[in-house]
Amino acid sequence: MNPLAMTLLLLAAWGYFGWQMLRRYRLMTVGPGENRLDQIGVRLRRTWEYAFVQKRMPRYYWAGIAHKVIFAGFMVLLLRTLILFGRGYSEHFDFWGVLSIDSVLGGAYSFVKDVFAVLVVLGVAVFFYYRLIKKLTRMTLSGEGLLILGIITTMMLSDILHDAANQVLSGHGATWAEPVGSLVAFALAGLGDGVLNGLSHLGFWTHVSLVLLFLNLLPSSKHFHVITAIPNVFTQSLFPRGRLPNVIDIEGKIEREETLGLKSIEQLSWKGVLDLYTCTECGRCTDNCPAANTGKLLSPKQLTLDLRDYLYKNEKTLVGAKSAGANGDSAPDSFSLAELVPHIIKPEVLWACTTCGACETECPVFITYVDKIVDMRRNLVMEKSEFPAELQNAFRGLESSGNPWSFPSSDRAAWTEGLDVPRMAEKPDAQVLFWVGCSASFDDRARKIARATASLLKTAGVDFAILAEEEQCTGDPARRAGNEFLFQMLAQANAETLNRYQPKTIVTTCPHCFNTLLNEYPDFGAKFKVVHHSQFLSDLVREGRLKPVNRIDAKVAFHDSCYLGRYNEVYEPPRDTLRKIPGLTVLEPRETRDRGMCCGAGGAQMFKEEEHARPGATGERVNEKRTDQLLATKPDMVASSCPFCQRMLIDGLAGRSREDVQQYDIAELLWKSVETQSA
Amino acid sequence: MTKDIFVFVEQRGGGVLQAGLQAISAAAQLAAKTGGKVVAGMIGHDLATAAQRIDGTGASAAYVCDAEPLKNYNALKYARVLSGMIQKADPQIVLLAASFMGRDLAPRVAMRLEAGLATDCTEVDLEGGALIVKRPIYNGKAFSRVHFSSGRIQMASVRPNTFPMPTGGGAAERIAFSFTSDTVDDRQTTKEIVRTGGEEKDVTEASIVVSGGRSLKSEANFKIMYDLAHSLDAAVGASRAACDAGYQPHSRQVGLTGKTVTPQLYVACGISGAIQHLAGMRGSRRIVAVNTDAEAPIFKVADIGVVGDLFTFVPLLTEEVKKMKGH
Repeated sequence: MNPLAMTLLLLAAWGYFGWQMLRRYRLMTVGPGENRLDQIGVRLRRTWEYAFVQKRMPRYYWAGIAHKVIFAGFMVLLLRTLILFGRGYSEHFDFWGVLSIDSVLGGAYSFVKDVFAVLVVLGVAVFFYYRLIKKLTRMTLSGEGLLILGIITTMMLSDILHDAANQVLSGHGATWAEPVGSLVAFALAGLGDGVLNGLSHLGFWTHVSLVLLFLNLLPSSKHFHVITAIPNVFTQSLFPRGRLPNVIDIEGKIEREETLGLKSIEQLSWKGVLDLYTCTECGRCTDNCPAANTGKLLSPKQLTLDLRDYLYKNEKTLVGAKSAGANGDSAPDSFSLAELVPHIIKPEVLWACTTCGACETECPVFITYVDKIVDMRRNLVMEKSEFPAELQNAFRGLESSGNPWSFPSSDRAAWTEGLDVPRMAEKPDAQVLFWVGCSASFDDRARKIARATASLLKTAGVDFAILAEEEQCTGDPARRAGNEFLFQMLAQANAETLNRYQPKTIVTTCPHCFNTLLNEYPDFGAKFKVVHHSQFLSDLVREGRLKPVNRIDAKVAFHDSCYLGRYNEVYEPPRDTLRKIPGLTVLEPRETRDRGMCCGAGGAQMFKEEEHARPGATGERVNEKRTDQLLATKPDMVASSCPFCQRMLIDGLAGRSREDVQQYDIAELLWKSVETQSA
Repeated sequence: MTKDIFVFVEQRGGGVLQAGLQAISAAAQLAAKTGGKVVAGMIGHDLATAAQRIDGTGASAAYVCDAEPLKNYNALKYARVLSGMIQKADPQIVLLAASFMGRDLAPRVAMRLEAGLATDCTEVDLEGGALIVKRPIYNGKAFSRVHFSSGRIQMASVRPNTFPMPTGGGAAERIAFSFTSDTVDDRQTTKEIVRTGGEEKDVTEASIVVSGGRSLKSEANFKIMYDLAHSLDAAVGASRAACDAGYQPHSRQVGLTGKTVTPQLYVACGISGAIQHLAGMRGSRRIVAVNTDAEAPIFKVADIGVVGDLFTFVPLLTEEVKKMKGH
């Protein structure tokens, strides 16, 4: 068409794009490094599943389908764009005949391209609809979003116009290879060659310029995800989801006066920065956040955006200091940016998080939030000693008595009274270690879970024992509250005890103990087979070692624990156990399994008061909102498989004056069904 | 340095803290061994009446700093005045109560005087001419013994209710200590003290606490708890559920995420005894529980359990207490 114009356009556009990308790259390298290139095979598979097939997208069905279509369209049209760039130099460029419209291959490609151009326009229409007509609250309406959608639509239409005008000019007549182009060609038939030539050029230059404009808008907009999403999915954490990043050598860090936890933006690794680049502001995280949904100040999306905007704002300072440090002009830490908390992120935001992981389960591009929130808590707790005052009691209890309520450790096995439960100290070769956990050891209500579980294990003839006084809290609440010191102290002590006995299997009734022992203790040299009691009991029933015979005629709404479900994907075993009980029907609330809402106790919330509502919002207790969801199924009973959930749901039922609905752990119900038969 | 023992006797608004007087007993034990005298000190405003409480305790002298700017407790002013008093009295040992004020003042004063300090002590003695104390650590699971060196002032705060009230001795000689203002104090001013929970006693300070739960059903119904509290000279506490429901302010919440209390007597009415609540009151000396549910976990920690309706029981109890006290 016009090689000079095309060359100038390409040079200018790619030059500016390259400069923008270089800036973004430099900003990514300010923070510490991190290896995210291990297990390439797994990474490639996940990238295919989540970045290309976009498995998480249809969790919001129509938006997901629309996005998939647009993405597929972009993939198809990438080649078309190259063809058009070529046409800037040679009028009828078609990769030297390989993609000639008259060839089968070229015709087929042209056909597919035409169809996708229309599908992309339809996909964009869905997005326009959600923004302008339905006005979804999870999205923030912005001119930028609308501009990009407009550009995409115009790109598609101008491409079709270019084809149609060319078709009429060439006198080819309608062709199957350009179904949409041919349709438009009908409308253009009869126009003079001059006009047609003008339309062809208009379509061409509009399309080509918009592609390059689009490219240059990406790095400075939320549409940067077009470029960063694939690498972000590829470099996602491959650790178990329930494992928080370990802080190595805390004492050394203190001696060297290094910062503990996330205090300042430059501490974010390149992967942390890539997370911020990749946020598309779709709002699925906040839409599923129990804190946000009960009026708290936390919004995972806003947290990400606040960090991102602050990062961009300080690009010069950060990159400047980094290169100054590299040149030896001054130490790299010579700049002083504001501490993230409370200047950029309010502490109430961090303390509202229940670490339920709903945000991370939802995010289509695998941005993480919980690790950043806990890392900021770590800084507040360990360096500044700023945390909700109520947590002090729990910390003190954990430190001095090994449980958050400060009960004397000598009472840890008091729940076994009259049950004759063997101790590891007397029976070190026991096959199964029943890890009871603090709630089931000390809480009068939760002790019934421990008693039911122990009774079931005995009935099934399992060779098991408990640690009794030798057991301490796993440290889960301390770690999630940011008190990594205390967590590591407890983890080391427990790891030592476990390694002394080397149990074949550890069974827990608490999903928090389960998750920590399974996913976090290997970092402390304690790697064992850990199963939750719902898994262990359902196996015993399946093997016929436990026979539920007593009828429990009740409709039971089942509540998923976050640390069992979302974090460790144990969804079936507790339901399976319940279904084996004659007469019992399991009800599923609308918010169930990986969409199940948190009870409100996770992330150390059990040991503090809930945060206040944000201004203008009606605050609600997380557990009461969750109770409402369960009550909506009209159950006779509510069942759970976590002592924390149990406590929250009992309080929730009382708060809603629905004490007529009973609350049980799955082990309690199973024992009711098995009990008399053995007696 | 004299061989005297100096005791800071704490007062707020004219009310003398018992624990401050109890510290005089501890001081008397030590004075008998050092051969010195017990000297008391008091800081505040309008102290004529309050200072009389020092008479008849065995203290031979009382330093009194009485000035308007000292009306409300202010850490900076009090620490400066108290340090000055101690320098003037020149004692070997300084004792004060491990109260809220004592915990705040002790390290500030110790720093100024370059004194050794041990806090929250339950025993005091003299060994080799210097102070030696016992203090509980790890939630009372172990004790540590702290030896002081004799070369400098030896300072200790003593835990309330571990020493008896002092007796004996005549009036203490009044020594006025004048207050001079200093601009450094202006870094912090106490303008007003606003107490939440009205004029009622604070749950952490009272020796009897009566607590109500959600089953009281309304803020108005808490009146019966306040009536009982007034008859017993007790403080009113509440469960988390009752505070959440807005029946009582959060400042009265007893439990893991509220206040931890260890009164002589704890009366739990309509409180089931969830673990979060037990964590805040389990250390009470005697526990009385009133609940309609005989299975409620509170009965497991209670010394006396009443299975019944609190709306019937509590007013009856109030009547009985009034009758007994009427005698």
